[in-house]
Amino acid sequence: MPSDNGPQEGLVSGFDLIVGAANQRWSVVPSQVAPCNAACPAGVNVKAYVALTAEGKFDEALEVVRERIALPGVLGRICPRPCEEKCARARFDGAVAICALKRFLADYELRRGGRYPKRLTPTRPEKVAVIGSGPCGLTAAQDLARSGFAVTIFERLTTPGGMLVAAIPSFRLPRDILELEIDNILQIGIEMRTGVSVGRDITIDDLFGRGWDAVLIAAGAHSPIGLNVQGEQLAGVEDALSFLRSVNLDGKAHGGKNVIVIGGGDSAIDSARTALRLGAGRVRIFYRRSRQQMPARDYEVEAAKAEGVQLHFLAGPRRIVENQGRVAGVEFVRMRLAEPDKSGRPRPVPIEGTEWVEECDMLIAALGQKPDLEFVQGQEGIEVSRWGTLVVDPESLMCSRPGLFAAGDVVSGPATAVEAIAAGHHVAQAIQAYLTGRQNLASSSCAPFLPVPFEVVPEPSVEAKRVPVPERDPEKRARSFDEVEDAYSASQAMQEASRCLMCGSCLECRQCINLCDGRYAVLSFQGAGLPGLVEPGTLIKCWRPALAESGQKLEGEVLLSAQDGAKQAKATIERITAHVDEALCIGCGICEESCQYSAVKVEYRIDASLIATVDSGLCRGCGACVAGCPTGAIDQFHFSNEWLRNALESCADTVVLYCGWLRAAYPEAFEKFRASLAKDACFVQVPCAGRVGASTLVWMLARSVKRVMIASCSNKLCRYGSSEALDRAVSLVKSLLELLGLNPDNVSIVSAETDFASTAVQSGKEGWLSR
Amino acid sequence: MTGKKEIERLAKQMRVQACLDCRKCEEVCPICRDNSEFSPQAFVKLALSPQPERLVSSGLLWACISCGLCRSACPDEQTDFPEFVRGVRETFVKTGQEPPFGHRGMVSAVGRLQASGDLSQKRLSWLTNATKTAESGDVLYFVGCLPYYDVIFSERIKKRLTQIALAGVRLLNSVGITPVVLPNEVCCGSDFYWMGDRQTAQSLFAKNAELIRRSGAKTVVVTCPECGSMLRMYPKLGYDHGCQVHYLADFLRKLIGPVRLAEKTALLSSCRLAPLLAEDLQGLLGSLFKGEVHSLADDLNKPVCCGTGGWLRSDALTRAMQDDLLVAAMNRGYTQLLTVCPKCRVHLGFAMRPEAWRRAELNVEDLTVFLSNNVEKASHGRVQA
Repeated sequence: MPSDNGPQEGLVSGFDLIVGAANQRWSVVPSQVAPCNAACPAGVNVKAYVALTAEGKFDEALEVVRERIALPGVLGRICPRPCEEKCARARFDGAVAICALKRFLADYELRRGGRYPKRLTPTRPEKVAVIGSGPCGLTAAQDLARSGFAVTIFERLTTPGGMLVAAIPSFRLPRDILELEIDNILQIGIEMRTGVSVGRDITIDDLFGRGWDAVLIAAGAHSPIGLNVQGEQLAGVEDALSFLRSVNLDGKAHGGKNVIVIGGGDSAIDSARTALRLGAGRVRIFYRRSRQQMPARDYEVEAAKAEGVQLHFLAGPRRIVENQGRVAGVEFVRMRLAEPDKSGRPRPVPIEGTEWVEECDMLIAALGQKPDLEFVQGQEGIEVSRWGTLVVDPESLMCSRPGLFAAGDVVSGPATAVEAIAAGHHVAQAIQAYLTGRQNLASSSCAPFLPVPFEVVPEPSVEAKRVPVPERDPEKRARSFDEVEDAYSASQAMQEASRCLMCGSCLECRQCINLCDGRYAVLSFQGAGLPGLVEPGTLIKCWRPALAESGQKLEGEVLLSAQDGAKQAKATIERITAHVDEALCIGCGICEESCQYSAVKVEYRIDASLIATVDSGLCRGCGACVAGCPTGAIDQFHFSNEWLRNALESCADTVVLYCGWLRAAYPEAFEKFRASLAKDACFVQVPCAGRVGASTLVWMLARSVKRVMIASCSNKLCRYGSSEALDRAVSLVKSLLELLGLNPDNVSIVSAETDFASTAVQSGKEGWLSR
Repeated sequence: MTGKKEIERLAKQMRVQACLDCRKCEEVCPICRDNSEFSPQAFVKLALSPQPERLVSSGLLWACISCGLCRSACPDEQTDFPEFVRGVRETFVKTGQEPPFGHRGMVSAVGRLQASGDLSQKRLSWLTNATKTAESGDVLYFVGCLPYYDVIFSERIKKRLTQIALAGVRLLNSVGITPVVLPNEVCCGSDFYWMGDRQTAQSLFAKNAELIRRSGAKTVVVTCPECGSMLRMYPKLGYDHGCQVHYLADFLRKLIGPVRLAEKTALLSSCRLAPLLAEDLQGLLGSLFKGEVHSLADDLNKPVCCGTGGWLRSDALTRAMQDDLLVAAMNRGYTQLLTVCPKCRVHLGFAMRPEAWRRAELNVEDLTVFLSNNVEKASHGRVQA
């Protein structure tokens, strides 16, 4: 039997936790958000999945990722990683390789047989059409399908994926991974119509006319921004998007031998690296600002350099040199950096008289892109901003036509995949709100975390450099479209994940939910929380839950207070389950009769004597067996008779035993009830009032307690389905009191139905109490 | 420190060190049989060791059920092991140890409530219009805790325990006695006394002694041998009630005619019955019954015990003893087993809850109830004849 230290009180990570024992109560500090979580546009609970990975709980970790990112294998490769930029460890010995961990998780699942999503049947009559199958459209489609809507995606190209498939080269994002993850999304029951061009094959009017109740334009930004110099139409001059699309989708196998790329963003780098793989002997990137201003990610730039791409800075194109109708070179002018422009970056200014010519046989212009809005031109409700993006109402995310929504790059202009995912979640909520006639809860932000500032950055105790992500030799990889990087091994992933400093307070990993289902702890949110994601009263929060093999307990350390420099305490939270003391059990079978979950059975021992046994998997810790046991042979872990009696030892006069479930369900009514009693009444919360047997009630009365009130749920409302054990105990004690000539009303039940009824029904909360 | 001295004093007084190591006590002790760690010798050794507190950690302090069978087996008549145990317990209770009362303290809580306040109990609702009782008189029937047991256990063992009290009054009435029944009688204090809670025991003793004295009774009859043996000790402990104490069936053995037995019947004696009887058990059975009623103990040629010693104990071990004796009764072809103590009846009731026992053809009945039912039938028959 594990040793119980009895009732405890302490601070735990932002939540009010009342575990097991009558007065074990963990009180509240406002929840803080770790910098990585706050940085993620899509609202991924980064800290949770990193910690779960560190524990080797890969499936659980991937589930945390999937809550917000439907394409974990894709994002695990191409995400621009804003989280890593904000990682508290970045200041010390390098940020945690969060993105690589995500990739590992996705690959790990794939290696072990992949995922088979369950097909969902629409539960709502409304249909939603999504135009575009990029990350925004896919995310919105998945969210809507999960909410019960029938969703159809229209994709102009023959392959779904939007920018992911058109612009991102396969050496960064292997196509089988992309296809598989898109397929996983579609398999929940989303219809995908590829090769259908809205505007040409079908109009938005048609969609509304043919029974779609809402239309989402998530068409991305696929129109290149031109060089705006002489000679742009020459053969051998291409924009980066067309170049990448023709390689990625049409399998174009030839580029130039001597390639110049103009631009400093990701597609410039992708184009350069692609050109290299198509056989170019020389690939140079020319950028008009300096290295520091390059929008491309550092690690991408470094990878390109390693493969042999040359970078030239402060060079602005003046004109394209022609030879027989083909590009032969580019004339550049030297630039200098002047005062910052509106974007905050220093403005490049040409230095006249410094022109020079660089030779090339192919020129790729990678100057960015904007939405291609031809297909919606002239349609009702379409309004285009001066930046060439669609205008939507910032609250409803709707165009001026009711039911017509737009999101992603088509609204924001070119952004990252993770931002597109964020936009997808956001607009899905808006569409759901529109279709169900409810208020759009997501109007201000799509991220689930409240912006509680994070103040104290924990420091690493030991220096530990990032585990390097395995990658192929630059010389060899530069000639092949095979993936450049490899995934961590399981042990590397665990090692890297354990570098996490666990900023903020609790992980909010919600691993406990599966195990506890609100059974071993009642938790109520005060102040901050995760509105919309979790139901108050169902979780416990625990730092790094190393769930025991038995599935019985949560074990780990509890962050006591982030403010006080991250003090940690050991904590073990086990399920409340019944157990039998074999030496005391007389095999009478009362426990078996009182158990509603068939968890207790009386069986023959080897010596033919009878003994009760508890199936802890079935046991839900209601305590009906404990209340009925005549010898005290059955007791509960983490809510023992001894705990209860210790807690009650100091109580005098009036004692109010109240059910934790009741209080969580009707907080206002309960506080009113509390206020109606004398101030010196002793309030003791128990996991279930049915747990308090007659012997404990009589025991209290034989001490200095004069009056016992039990605030409990009725049969109808009881979490455990029956208040019979309590009714029996109270009526027995009343009979004893009567025999003794004492007032039977010294023990009474304050029932949820009669005494809390009006408030209960009004708040409409009676449902969640039931099983 | 004072505790240690007290234990040494008790050891001398109760002559527990005069042991010849014959181990006869171990042969009869119901606890020794299944608990290999416990024996009177082991208890004494630990109590007199430099660390008597190991009695608590080992659990031996509360193991003895004070049945007294060891006393009858011991060649040294002066040795009183149960009294030694009781005294040792008192020293521990004085320092704050809470005795592990049976049934999770429910019965003892009732006793404590009775000890602490001036109550006007409503404990006699089981009396009927046909029963005759008085507020004063020569014979007092000490009901004991039966009304309370009735509330606590009847539903569980499907047996009304107030039947025993009712049967007692009816038997007394049937021979023309109108017994005094006290409306404010309290627990006899036996459990508290034997568990070392002297304070509670004494206030119960005082209340009962006072009530009995005031009733003017000369004889107290009981249907519970534990009440009987406790009440017999009252005067010695300084609480004189001025009465002889008898077990009810024994008190009436000359007055109620021998009962004819329809079934093969055995009787399960209880730990504290024998000292209460005027003669021995065989004599009592011979005068009560026409035909043979065997004592199960004699049959088995060893003392049998329900193992609980009041509410001192109920666990797997005592349950095993109960199973043993139920099986023994069945194997000998008995279809009826009579108990003499309500506590034996309650515990056999729990033992027989499982399906297998419920189907068994063995009827367990309290002796008083059995007599009341059958004597009434017999007298009824006589009247008709």
